[in-house]
Amino acid sequence: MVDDDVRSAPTGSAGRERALDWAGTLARLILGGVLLIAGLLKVGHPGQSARAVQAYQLLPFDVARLVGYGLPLVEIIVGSLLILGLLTRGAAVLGTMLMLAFVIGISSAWARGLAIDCGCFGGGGQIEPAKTAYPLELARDSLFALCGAYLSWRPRSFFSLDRRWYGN
Amino acid sequence: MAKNQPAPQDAVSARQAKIQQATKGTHRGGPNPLVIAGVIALVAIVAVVGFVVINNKNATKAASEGGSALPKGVSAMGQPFVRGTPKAGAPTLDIYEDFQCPGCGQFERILGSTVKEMATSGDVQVRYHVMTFLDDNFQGKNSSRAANAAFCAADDGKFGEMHDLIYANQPTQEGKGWTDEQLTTFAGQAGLTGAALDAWTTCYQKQDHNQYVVSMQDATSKDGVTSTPTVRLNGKDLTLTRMDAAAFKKAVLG
Repeated sequence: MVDDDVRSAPTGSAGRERALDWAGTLARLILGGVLLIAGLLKVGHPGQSARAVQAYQLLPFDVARLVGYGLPLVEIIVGSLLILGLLTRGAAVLGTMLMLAFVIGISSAWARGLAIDCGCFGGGGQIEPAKTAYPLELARDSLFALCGAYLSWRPRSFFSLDRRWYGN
Repeated sequence: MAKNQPAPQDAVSARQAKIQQATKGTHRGGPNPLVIAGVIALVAIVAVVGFVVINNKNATKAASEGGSALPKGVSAMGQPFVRGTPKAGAPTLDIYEDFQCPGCGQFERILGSTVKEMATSGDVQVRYHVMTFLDDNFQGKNSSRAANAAFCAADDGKFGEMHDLIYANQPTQEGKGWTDEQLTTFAGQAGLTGAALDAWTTCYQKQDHNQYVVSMQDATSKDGVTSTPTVRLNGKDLTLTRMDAAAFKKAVLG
């Protein structure tokens, strides 16, 4: 009979490999899902996306506009690759860079006292000032960046095209 | 492997094991990974660049729709509209609003008449920055159309009246906006009749001030205003929480 475990690691760390593969799968789906959804929400609203990047006042006005136009599609592409588990390491590196950029942007806005909100608000019979949730956003994006960093280091996971096609 | 004569299925599975061993570590079921990476990278770059170019083209096209005439009383592109004639030394109140914004409608309901009083008395320099970003959120053109209607009314000195009427008639359903008929009715109610109304109708249909409207949205982005309503007193953000007319008057006039 063929020995199916021809390529498995020596016994003892097979369990560890499997656990890390599960962690990789989770990281892939979390980061990929978040990026894909974020991209899909913005891809039909180029003006909104452009203004969102301009609001951080980190890039020159027109550069920020163009970045805003392209960002949703980049998110969709990177998110899709992660969900499929194809070119996982490369997609993870890009995804991490994106998340770090957001962390830097939010931190900078917070430090400069910018109040960034998109759209308008109002309700409850009173006029409320803009509510910024910087700490929460920073924590969230840092977590996603960690998922990406982990995958960049160890892109192996279950249910991925990388594994199916390339035995990764 | 067995040295003596193997059974047929043993030979097949033995061969499979050999193939697996030989292809271990290289691609076995999928296309060449370098080719895949190259193709994906190329397609991605082309797609993103193309997408940026198309969006930029659309934005440029939208920004050059309509006419580039400045409304009466406005000195340059991107400049806000001053309501009334302010006295010398009057404090400056910058109001950033979008006609479709419910929060702005609320602001106008609670403090609108106070602002109007300040503007018409000249005690305060009231400057309206009319934003149209909600058109993108609601995927329509209602904010631009309302803005165009208001600035066409400005040409006959009726911006304030038109502005107040549009806010007083905000639809309950966000994004529904106003029809051309409704806006024409407001123009009449604002005091535009006869030749003045004809001039307004021509101005509105040709969107004579549209490029000014676009320039004002861009200017507000540069001013760092990202939500509405935003009110600034002498350049500093004014917090409107729980402010009634009396508190507002005190904050602005001291």
